[in-house]
Amino acid sequence: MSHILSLQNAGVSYHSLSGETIALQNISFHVEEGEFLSIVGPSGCGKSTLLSIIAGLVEPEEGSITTNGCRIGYMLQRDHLFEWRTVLKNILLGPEISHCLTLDKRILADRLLKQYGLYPFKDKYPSELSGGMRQRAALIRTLVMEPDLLLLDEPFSALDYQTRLNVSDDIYRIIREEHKTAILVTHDLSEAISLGERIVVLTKRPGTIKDIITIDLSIDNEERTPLLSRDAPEFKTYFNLLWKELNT
Amino acid sequence: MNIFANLQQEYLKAQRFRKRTIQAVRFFILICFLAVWEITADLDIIDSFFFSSPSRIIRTILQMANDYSLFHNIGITLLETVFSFVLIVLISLASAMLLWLLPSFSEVLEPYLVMLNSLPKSALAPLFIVWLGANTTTIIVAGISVALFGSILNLYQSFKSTDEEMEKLIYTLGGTKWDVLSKAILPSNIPTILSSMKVNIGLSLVGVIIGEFLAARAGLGYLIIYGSQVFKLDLVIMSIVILCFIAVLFYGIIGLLEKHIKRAA
Repeated sequence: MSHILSLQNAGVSYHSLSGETIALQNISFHVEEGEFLSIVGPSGCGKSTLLSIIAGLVEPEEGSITTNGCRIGYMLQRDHLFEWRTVLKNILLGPEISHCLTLDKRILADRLLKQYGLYPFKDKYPSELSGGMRQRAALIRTLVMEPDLLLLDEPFSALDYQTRLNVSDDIYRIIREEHKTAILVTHDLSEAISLGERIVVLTKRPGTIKDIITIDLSIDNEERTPLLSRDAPEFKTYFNLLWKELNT
Repeated sequence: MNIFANLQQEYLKAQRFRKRTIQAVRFFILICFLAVWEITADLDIIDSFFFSSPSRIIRTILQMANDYSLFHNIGITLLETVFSFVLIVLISLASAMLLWLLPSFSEVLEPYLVMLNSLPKSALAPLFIVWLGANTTTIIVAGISVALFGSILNLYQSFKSTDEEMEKLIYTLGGTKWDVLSKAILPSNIPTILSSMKVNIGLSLVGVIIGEFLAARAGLGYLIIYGSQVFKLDLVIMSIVILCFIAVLFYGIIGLLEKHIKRAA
C-alpha cells in the first residue's frame, strides 16, 4: 500500500507578545491509503493544530509534510451548517466556492443524499434536522468535494452519548463505503479504538508522538463497525494500554 | 382530551382579550390627549396661539392640502430622507466590508471613526452649507452624516464577532477571504443589518430635519422654522405631528421588510 500522507519531524509553535509556545514538535508518521487512523492526546496537546497542518491551513515551521497531491476534506467539531441555506445548498457550498458546481457534482450530491437517508430533507433548513442528521449532512458536504483523505476533528463531541454512538457508526460506514482514508482526532479513548486501525498517541504540550499502536481486533474486518469493535475481547486491553500511555 | 381542548380555547380567549384591551387602552390615551387639548384650548385654559389645538391643526392641514403645498413639503422631506437612508446603508455596508477585508487599515482608522461617531453632527451642518450651498445636496449630506459613522462601526463590530469556525469552514472548502465575507459573514449578519437599518431610518430623518432648518426652501423642517419665525405655531405643531406619522411609517416599512426576509430565509 502506498503512503497517502507522510510527516517528517514536523513542528509548529504559536507566537504571541508574551512569548512562544511550542504546539507540536518532531511529529513523524505516515498514513496509508484506505487506512483509518486515530489520533489521541490530552486536551491542548495540539491535536487540532496537527489537522490544520495536514489540511494546509497552517504551515509547519520545521520538518516537512508530503501529501502526494491528494485532496483533503476537513470535518469540523461542529457542523456549521448555514441556517439560511437548505440542506442541498449547504452540501453544494464547496463546489460553489471553488466554482466547480457542475452537473456531475449535483448528481453526486443527490446520490450521497439518497444513499445516506437525507434526500427527503434536501429542501429543508438545518434547524429542522436532528443532531445526527446534521452531522451526516456536514460529512456529505465534505464528501461532495471528493477528497482522498478525510480529516475529522472530534466530529462527535458536540453530540449526546446515544446519538454519538449511532453517528459514529453512521460516519464510519459512510467513510468505508466511499473508500476514503481518514484521520480522526479525539480525546475519547473508546472512540479512537473503536474506529481506528492505528492510533497515534500524543503527549502533553509540546505535543510529540509517544507511541503508535496498531489495533488488531478479533472481528472480521469486513463486518467491523465501531459498535461491534466495542464488544471485541481485546477492546479493554487496548483501552487500558492507551490509558496508561496517556497517564505516564 | 376534552378538558385540554377547553383549556386551550380558554387560553386563546384570554390572550385575545389581553391584546384587545391593550389596543383599546392605547387608543383611549390618544383620544383623551386630543380631547383634553381641544377642550382646554376652546375654554382658553391654554393659549391656542402658542399651543394650537387639534381642530386648528386639521384646519391648517386642509388649507395646505387645498393648494397642494402640504404634499409638496411632505414629499420633499420624504425624498431627502429616503435618499440619505439608502446612501447610508450602501456606504456603511461597503465600508464595513472593506474594513473587515483589510484589518490593518481598519486598525489605523478606528480612532478616527470613533471620534467622528461621537462628534455632534449638527455642528457640521453650517460647514456643509458653506461648502455645498444651501440646497438639497447639503440636506442629504447632513442626513447621511448623522448616522453613517455609527452604522459603519456597528456593522464592522458585528462582522468581526462572527464565529471564527465558520471562517475556517470556508477555508477548508478552498475558499478565499472574499468567500468568507460573501458566503458566511454577510448572510449571517442580515439580522444586524436590518436592525441597523431601523436605527438609520430614524437618524437620517433627524439629519434631514436639521439640514432643512438651515438650508431649505421647502420640506417639513423648513415649515417648522418658517412657522416659528412668523409665529404661525399651528404650522409648526402640524409639521411635528406629520413627522411623528412619517417616523412610524418608516419604522413599519423596515419591520415589514424584516418579516419578509425572515420568512424567505
